[in-house]
Amino acid sequence: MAKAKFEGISVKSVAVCHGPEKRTAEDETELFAGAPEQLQRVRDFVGIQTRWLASRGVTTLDLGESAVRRLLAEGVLDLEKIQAVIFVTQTPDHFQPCNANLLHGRLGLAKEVLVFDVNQGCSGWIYGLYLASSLLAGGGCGQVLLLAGDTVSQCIHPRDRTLRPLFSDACAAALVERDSGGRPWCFDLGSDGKGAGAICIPAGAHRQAAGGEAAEEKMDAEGNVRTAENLFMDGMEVFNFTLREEPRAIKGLWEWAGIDPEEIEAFVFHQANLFILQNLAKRLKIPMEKVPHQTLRDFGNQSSASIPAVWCYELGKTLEQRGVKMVSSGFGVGLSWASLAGEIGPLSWAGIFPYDAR
Amino acid sequence: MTDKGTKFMRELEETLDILQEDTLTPETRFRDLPGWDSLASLTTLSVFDEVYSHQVSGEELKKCETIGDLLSLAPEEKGE
Repeated sequence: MAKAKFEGISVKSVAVCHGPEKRTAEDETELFAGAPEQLQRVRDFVGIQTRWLASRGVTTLDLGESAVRRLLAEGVLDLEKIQAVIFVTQTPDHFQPCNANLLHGRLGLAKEVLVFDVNQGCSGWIYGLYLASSLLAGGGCGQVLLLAGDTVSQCIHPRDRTLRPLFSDACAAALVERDSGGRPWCFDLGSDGKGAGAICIPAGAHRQAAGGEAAEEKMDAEGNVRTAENLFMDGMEVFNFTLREEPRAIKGLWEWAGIDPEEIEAFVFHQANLFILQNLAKRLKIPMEKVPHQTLRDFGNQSSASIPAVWCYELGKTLEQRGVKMVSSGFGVGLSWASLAGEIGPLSWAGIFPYDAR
Repeated sequence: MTDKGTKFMRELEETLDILQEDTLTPETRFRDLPGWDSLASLTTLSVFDEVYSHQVSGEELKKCETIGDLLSLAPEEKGE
């Protein structure tokens, strides 16, 4: 597992733009027709009350641009100082060109700015911070604009009861910069490509084209319907993977970094579902009070935007006042995982808001 | 069966809302449990890992007909 330590780098401001269409339990009753108690069980299990979806035709790029424009409106971002843009997404507008190039055009950034996409999901925010840190530490950049998000809800079949109650659409944008006052950041990143099939959209890219057989609806043993163009997730394998890798990786990181877990104020996990978060807390012997999960309850699983969403929604007011010692950790599609132990903040601004098409 | 087998059954009864206290035995069939579903399966994997520090895959669990079949997958139970 790759481990790295950076000093003199800080996040300065974060904005998360989420889909405007609210979904609550009432919207899922039809999906669980005739089994309301099953719906309640699922909701208690996953710990999600409200989800927010992007409207059809609104993409991750739109949400991301909106997040950047909010930072501009708040006066906490100067586009002329940006030297690189990293866009982490698995739901880009096109196969070619990448979202970062499209955003470069929309924002009218200078031609000297380097931009690229990163294809990662739930671990993507930390992958993005690691890459931003690398560009800042040795890549000749002084300020990096990092975006991460997905419109996962649009990849899920309407009659997939296992996945539909989980996912929301959102994109985060953050200014990351060189800062002599920045506290040490310690990263751990890893992958298990043999498990790639556990979270996968089988068709629609180059291995299997969209349409034809790929578009045929199939029902699994539990009555869930999906096509090969929809997101598939093997819940049990993903659960086992998470409990196998995450506790080990996080313990390894705090030992390597010489961090006393007692001093960590918050363990900001990717907001996958409540069952996973409770199990991680138990395995790591940390109290749930230190594991934010209101973001999960009120916004659902926001893929790579979920960690910055916690920073904004649950820790934002504190982060605007002072730095917070935390571990932030994402895990999922790849399979991949990535953790950052270090102080985040103080931030000049942190906020989460719904997309407004205007 | 070791003490951990008993511990596993009691903890599963406590964790899983569809179960009553002291009702599970090694002979209990998963498919006979009312409300047995994928959430119950996940909970079972979780309690098993907690008690035995050993992971069982979803495929392995699906092949288990009874609680006893599952318990026999724990390295500690194989020694008995």
